[in-house]
Amino acid sequence: MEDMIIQTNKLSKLYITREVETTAIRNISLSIEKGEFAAIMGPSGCGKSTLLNLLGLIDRPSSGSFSFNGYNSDSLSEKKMTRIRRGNIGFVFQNFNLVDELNVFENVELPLIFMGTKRKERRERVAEILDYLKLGHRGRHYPQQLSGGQQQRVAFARAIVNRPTLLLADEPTGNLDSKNGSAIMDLLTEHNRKGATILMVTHSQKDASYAHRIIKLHDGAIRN
Amino acid sequence: MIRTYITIAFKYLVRQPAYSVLSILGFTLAFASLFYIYSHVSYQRSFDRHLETWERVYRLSAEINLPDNENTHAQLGPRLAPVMKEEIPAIVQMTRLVAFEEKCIVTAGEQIFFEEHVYFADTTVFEVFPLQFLYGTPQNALLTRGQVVISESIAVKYFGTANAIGQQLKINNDRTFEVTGVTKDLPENVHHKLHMLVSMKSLQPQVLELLDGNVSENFWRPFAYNFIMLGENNTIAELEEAFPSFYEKHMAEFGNFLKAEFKLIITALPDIHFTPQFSYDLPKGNRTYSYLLVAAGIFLLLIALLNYANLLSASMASRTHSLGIFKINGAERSHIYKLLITESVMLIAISMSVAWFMITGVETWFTERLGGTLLQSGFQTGSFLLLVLLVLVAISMAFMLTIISRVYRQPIHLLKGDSSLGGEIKRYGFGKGSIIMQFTFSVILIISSLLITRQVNYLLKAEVGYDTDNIVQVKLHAEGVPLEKIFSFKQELKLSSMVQEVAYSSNVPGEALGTSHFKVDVDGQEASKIVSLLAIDADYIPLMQMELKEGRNFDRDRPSDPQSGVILNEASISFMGMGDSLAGKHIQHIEILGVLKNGKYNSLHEESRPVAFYFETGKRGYMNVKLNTSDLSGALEYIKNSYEQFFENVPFEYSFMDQTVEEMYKNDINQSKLLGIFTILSIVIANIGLFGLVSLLNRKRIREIGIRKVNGAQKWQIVMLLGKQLVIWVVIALALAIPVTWYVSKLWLQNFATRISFSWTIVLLGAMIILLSAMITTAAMTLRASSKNPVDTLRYE
Repeated sequence: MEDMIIQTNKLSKLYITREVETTAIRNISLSIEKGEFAAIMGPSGCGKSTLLNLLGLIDRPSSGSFSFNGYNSDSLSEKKMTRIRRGNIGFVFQNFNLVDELNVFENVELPLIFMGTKRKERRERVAEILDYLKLGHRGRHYPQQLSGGQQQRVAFARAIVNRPTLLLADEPTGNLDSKNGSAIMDLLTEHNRKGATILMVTHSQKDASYAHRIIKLHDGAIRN
Repeated sequence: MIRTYITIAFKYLVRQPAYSVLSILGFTLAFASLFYIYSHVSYQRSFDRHLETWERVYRLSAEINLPDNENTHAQLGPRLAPVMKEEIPAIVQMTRLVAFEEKCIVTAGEQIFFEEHVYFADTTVFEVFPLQFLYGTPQNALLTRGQVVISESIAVKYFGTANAIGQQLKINNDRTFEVTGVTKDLPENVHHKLHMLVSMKSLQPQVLELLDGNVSENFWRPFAYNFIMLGENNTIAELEEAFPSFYEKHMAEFGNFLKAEFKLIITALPDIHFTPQFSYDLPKGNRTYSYLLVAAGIFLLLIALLNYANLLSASMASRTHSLGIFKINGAERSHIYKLLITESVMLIAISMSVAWFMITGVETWFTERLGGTLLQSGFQTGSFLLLVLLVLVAISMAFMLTIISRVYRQPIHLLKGDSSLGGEIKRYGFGKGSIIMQFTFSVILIISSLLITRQVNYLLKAEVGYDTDNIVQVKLHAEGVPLEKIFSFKQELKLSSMVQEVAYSSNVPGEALGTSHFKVDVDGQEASKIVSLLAIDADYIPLMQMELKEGRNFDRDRPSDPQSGVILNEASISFMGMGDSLAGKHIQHIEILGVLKNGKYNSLHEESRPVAFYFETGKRGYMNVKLNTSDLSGALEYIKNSYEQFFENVPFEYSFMDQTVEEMYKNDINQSKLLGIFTILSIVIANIGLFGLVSLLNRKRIREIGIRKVNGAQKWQIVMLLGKQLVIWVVIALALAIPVTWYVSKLWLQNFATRISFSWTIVLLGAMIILLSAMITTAAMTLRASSKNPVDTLRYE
């Protein structure tokens, strides 16, 4: 149990609009170990991203429960979820999700700002990470001035700047060419080797091959 | 952390230029208007509050009601204040100001000027009005005959230095006075300008006798402005309580003789400038306009706030994505809140700064066109700015809470941007509501502005019974000059082909006229009637193109006309109560030679007053010159040259009669211009808000527009989609605005005895203006949206 960072029990998510009820995921029970690199695969619309969002505490389940690092999702307020996310979970998205109004440095700095990290320390850590990712010379540039691969590296930098224990990646190479895609997957792998737990949603068999385990979803449920 | 918020807020503003510029523009216009209005109102409210005694000083006036005749007098008898001070303990001091005529000629060496507001004053004047003496002392300044105390700027004007002690001033080329004191200038906003005070003992001996005689009439006769000063712990109620017995003791005798009722009016010093115009009083301010301006300013600010709310709501559609990113990266509600507040405060602060620089930059433009100094009270403006900033920040915070509670969903839904979870519908609802409110305020301002403009035009063009075009009024101040010179001057003027006619009058329209009371026989009963008096010569009525309703004009060949003839204006008919036909009848021993049609000589704010024209050419007054040329500068030069031939050492002063008449409505004209400016600003700001809402709606409907275009819709048809909604909003705004405007305009129009009625044409015009401006804004934006290729908008899916 202590090695489990995530555990879910009959987790379900239902989307209800005015006339339509859509079950995105149903009764999903799984466990993710600390330090594991797991890939979630399945056809379009099977609920992969929904599951990832729930596990990342950026969405609420309709039923079922899960725990993250000992925290049970049932009792978590919005504020609490934000605080748990902060410093523990990092996100990398397919479309990068950088803030266009901020430059590279400021985008990467965001999680540290909301953590309350002091300015001097923020600057040092961001500079360190940008150097590590060979983006040091791009600090003052804006996302629109970067290539896709560079933007995703910035997103990655932002995701890990707080040294989170869990990194969630939703189709991280979906908008990249193969060279840049491989570079991102190398970064993920490297990060996992350093001890981070990684949960990745992907369509790509090639990307999935980097993972230790593949979880297959179909119509919102885990396919045995 | 604040620094980070400022950085993020600043960067967002820079990267969203449309949102930033439009929000700043809306606030800037509103703030600039507010600064001006606040300054104007402060200036008005600070009238006569400069001296330390202001809270205890009151002016005594009275409503004197004779049978069939009521008049309110600003000047009362010379014995009133002194005896009240002796007998009523609550009064610790009094002073009187006896006005010289409207303008005096003041000479010192080579310097000759006309001066207004010259008064004879008691020695006690410096206790009631403790002016700051730069030279001389208040105790010794006005003790004896032939002394004058002047202000610093007067001293510099005549003597080139403030230290003018011992210098000589001649007044009206007649008497010489020694300067015994120089005082610091008072600000402009005082009702009685005390810049030239002559010792009361300088009055002619027979007049001085009047000042001391305790006969009852000397308490009534309009002679002096009477001021009293209460003790520090005394109240007006004590004075009001003591007055009835005072009246019985000193004033009832003459009152009974006149069969008159005397109602004492006690006006606090700061209120004098704003009380209704009394007889023998100086031009006044109007507090109604101050209230109107304040209302306009508040409207503008509300419109700017609503506009900002709309723009912010519209920007939320694009902002939810970045808010989602913040949340995913650990931002709590309080972080988002502080971020948005910082942005608001920044916008407001930038707008205030721009407004401040803008308004100080255009100060001269305002002052020249609208009158008055723009920013008179620096410190108060500073504290006002702070107050407005705090209020706006408070409102923004309240608004942000609402916004944040709406957008505060799970982060992933924010990341998805405009996907509908019902919040967009609510946002549009808020946007529509605020647009309707903005339209409502704008419609109120438009209709009010149109109404005021119409009323002012009505005043200026109202039929008053005489012509005012192309008439030059030359000021006559000819004491010490034989009357023949005035006749010769008149003849000299007539020699020019540029001059059509010349005639003398003692006053010009709008000036306070002298009065006299007549005993008339009304159905066998004797009645006392007070009428205004105007001296004219035989050429005046033809020059002014006045028409006689009955009777005849003065005839210079009839010696009896100057002695015992009078012509009345039409308002006198009902006033006299002597029947509908007056020509040939007598008032006392005076024959009524004729009655003029109309002949309104006073401002149309008041009912038309009865005026009696009598035949005389005097040494003071005006020579009216009717021109028949368009070469005004040539004509003026000729007039001036002629004048200087006959009147040495008297400054040449002139005005045009139509300008004089317009001067009566100067306040109304200025306020109408101001309101017009604010109305335009409100339309601009409302359309800025509409811009925001339309861009949001267009963004939402971009797909719909694409589909309609694919199915053959024309651009104008797409524009009409939104246009229909606009009409509904304008109708709702009108329904809300009309009752308010009707009520307010009814109140305002009561300031005028002659007035227009509330017109539905104006309402329709107001509706058309706001609808047109909104249609233009909407059409421009929707046309732009509808110009996009459907393939681009549909590809969005």
